[in-house]
Amino acid sequence: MALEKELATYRLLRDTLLRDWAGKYALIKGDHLENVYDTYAAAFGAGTRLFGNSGFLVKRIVDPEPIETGVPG
Amino acid sequence: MTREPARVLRGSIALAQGDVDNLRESGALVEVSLSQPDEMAQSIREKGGDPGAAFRAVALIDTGASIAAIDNALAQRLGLVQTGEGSVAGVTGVQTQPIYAAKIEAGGVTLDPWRVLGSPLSSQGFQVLLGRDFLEQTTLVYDGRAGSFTLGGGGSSFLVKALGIGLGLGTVGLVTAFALGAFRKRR
Repeated sequence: MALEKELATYRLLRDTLLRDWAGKYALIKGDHLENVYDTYAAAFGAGTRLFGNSGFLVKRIVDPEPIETGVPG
Repeated sequence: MTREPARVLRGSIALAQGDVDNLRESGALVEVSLSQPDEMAQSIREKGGDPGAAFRAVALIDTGASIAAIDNALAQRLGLVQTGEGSVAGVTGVQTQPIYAAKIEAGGVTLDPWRVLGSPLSSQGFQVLLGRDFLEQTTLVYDGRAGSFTLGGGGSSFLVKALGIGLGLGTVGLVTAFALGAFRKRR
């Protein structure tokens, strides 16, 4: 599964991130939280500059997790 | 069932009566441009790679969808980078699908980068869904009685007429028309 390690890192840090950075976007590569950004675009831009197209997670820090609707699965 | 191609007309001039049946059956279809986000394309070029050209795809404007979506195969073909996962409610429960970063241009709106959910769309007769996250960036006016809709944003607007046959595009120098090839749509 793509981004498995990054998603595990997010789950590990989730409570702390929710407490301090709710609503913002976490940039995670591997087991490292790179930084937190105000927007998806800012986090994506930083991830691109740092990691290129090698894969990184941009995760909105929210609880509960949104469930998208109306899209075929 | 074979659908007539929609036409997307840049501008705001009414050229002909729309086709009510076609719009009802096919939905609000527009042509969109999809590509790597600019920053990612630049990063790929700097490393000697080829980010690929923009791809023109057929998109359904869908107020029932909460988020934009792209056909999984097309996302792979464009080499879009996965930046996450999304939970999607379906008839069999909630499932996880990839989220990609893309640049989307449609209706005078450019979204770069934008989150798009990977989804099996190709069998639907279109490759992209423009959901409510896209619609937050623009204005959609759906005139079902006239068989037309307008999509505006970013200082320009599109007038979209379902069934553009006979519009006499050659006589109208004020607009640029993009004909989408005929395609089949299955629901």
